[in-house]
Amino acid sequence: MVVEVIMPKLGQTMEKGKIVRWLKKEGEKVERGEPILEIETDKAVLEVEARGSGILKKVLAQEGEVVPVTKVIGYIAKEDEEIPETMIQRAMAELKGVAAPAPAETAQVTEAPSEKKVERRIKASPLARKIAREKGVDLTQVVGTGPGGRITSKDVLDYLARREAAKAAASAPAVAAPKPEVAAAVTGIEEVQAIPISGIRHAIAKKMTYSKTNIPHFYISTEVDMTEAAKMRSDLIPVIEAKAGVRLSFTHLLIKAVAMALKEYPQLNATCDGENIRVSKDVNIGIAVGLEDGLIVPVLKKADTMDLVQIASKAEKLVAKARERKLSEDEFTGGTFTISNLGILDVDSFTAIINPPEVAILAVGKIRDKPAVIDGEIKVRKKMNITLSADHRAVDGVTAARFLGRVKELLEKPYSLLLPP
Amino acid sequence: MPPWRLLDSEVTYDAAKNLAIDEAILQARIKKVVPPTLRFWRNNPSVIVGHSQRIRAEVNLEVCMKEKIQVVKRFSGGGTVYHDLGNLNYTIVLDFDHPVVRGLDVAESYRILCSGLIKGLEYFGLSPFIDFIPPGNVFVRGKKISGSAQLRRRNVILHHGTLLINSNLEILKKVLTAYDERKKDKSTSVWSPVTRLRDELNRQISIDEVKRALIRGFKESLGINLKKGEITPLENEIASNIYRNKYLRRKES
Repeated sequence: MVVEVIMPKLGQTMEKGKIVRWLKKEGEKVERGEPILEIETDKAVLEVEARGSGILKKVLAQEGEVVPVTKVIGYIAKEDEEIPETMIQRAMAELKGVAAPAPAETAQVTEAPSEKKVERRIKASPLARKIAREKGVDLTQVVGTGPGGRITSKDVLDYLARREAAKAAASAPAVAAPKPEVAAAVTGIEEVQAIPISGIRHAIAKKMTYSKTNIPHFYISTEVDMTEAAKMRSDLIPVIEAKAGVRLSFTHLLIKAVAMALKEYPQLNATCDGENIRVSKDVNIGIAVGLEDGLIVPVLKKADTMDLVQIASKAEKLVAKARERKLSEDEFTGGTFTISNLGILDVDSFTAIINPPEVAILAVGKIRDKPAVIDGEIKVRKKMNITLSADHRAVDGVTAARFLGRVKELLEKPYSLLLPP
Repeated sequence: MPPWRLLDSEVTYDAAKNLAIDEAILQARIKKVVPPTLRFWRNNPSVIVGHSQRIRAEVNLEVCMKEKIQVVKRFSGGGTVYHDLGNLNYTIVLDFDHPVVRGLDVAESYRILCSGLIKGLEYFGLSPFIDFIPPGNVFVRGKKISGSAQLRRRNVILHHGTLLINSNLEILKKVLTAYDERKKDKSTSVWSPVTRLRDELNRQISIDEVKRALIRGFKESLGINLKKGEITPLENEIASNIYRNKYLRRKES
């Protein structure tokens, strides 16, 4: 079986790594667990171990290259195994870059011949280099949004703005001249501690800003009658507790309903990068977990292949791990749809921001007793608001509405949730 | 928590040998035959280049040859720095899932692992600031006074850093291309104005006084106990091998 060598995501906020040294060459034998390359991120050199044994058949990225996390940089396969050409092409295309819109200045710029001679150069426009040089910016720390991951002058300026804001906000006033907006914040209320946006919060800030700026969101809301589901759940709690040692929650029911509905409406189980929509064959549900310093979204992989008990059991473990910040790389990447449940916090309804590159997210509110008319009589029913946010580039209103309707149906007649996958 | 080992005996001032010792401690910790360790060490005048950098791009080799300054490439990442006996290095070797760093991102781990140094500087009445892009750089009044870098192998982290106490800044500026108007474009080190502890405190200060402050700082900020120890025979053996195979062979300039 072909094993991918990928740029590992070591920690939630790691976005890219630089290949420092391949410890094995193409054609060399490798053992599972053996270090096969050294990468550098945040000034730390890390040894990456092989995830399988065999021959390092193909190396796709070279020493000195900066590669975004989770991208494939090589393949390990058995002696007689062939790696499909399409797989290699696809991986190389991914490495060549994000299809981000090219800012005008990089289109006009041509690299001076002398720069090409220095092999390990980072791709950046001359203007970006100039600014970086003048301001003491390490280009390996800047994320490039130009074609092929090229660093533009705007990328350097954005990086600088963040760095200045952080410095000014967290150090004594005498240090660096803060930017006007930050200065206002710092000199305003003396008692408030200015906290630079860093780590998890920084990663969330970047992602959410990108999402809101680039994804045309639209929202569909509906009220679900959870009376039957609540009854079923309370009957099932002791049974599942005994069987799997886990307490069945409404979120678990939601995950099951959403996973089933996504199988019927796969357009919502997709990722979109602005150019292409990729429908995923697996349903990987992200469960938003709030921590004091930010949000983590552990991913329950292949939720469509699990029954309710398995979902409850695995989701509990994932959430506990997320709270302890012990998620493995596989557990916080690869999501195809996210569920955010603020019901426990007494929120009636809200609209969530899509978690790119996913195309939709479901926001769930609190279950409340409300009067409803059933068969001509006023009864008390349990109602819960759910709101779907969807990416209009990938999903249209009718499909989204039908998907939401199906989720509602599965929750209102919840016994289908007990069927095996 | 069992006490960490404190290695304070500065057995050598040779930069390559010191790096070999650091790596040997890492190997010993991977084998779990030594406890988590805090080590202090210093080098004779030398330039230490980051692992993924190019020596020629970072160092003024002619000046180093003339002044007999050793040039070595280290195993951890980051930029190029100048060491002399006025600069104190500290190294921390601990498991990736040690309570002090468990669950932390690389960048976040820098903050914790530098905190002892920060606390130590605070005892002197200073207000140090730690940057996070790139991580591990400590500033006092806007000037860099300490940098740090890491190597992670298997499930152990080696974090080491510098502290300028009374280094010769004239030479520092001459050997690092980052300071050279004509050559700095080739450097990938992040340039920064620097300062020394003796400049910030405006007095002479002994290495011992600094070590005492840092030891107290690390104990308090990491919540650990330190027990004075020695380098084990195994570590010495590993260090010799590393020195021979890695550093003697690669004689640069």
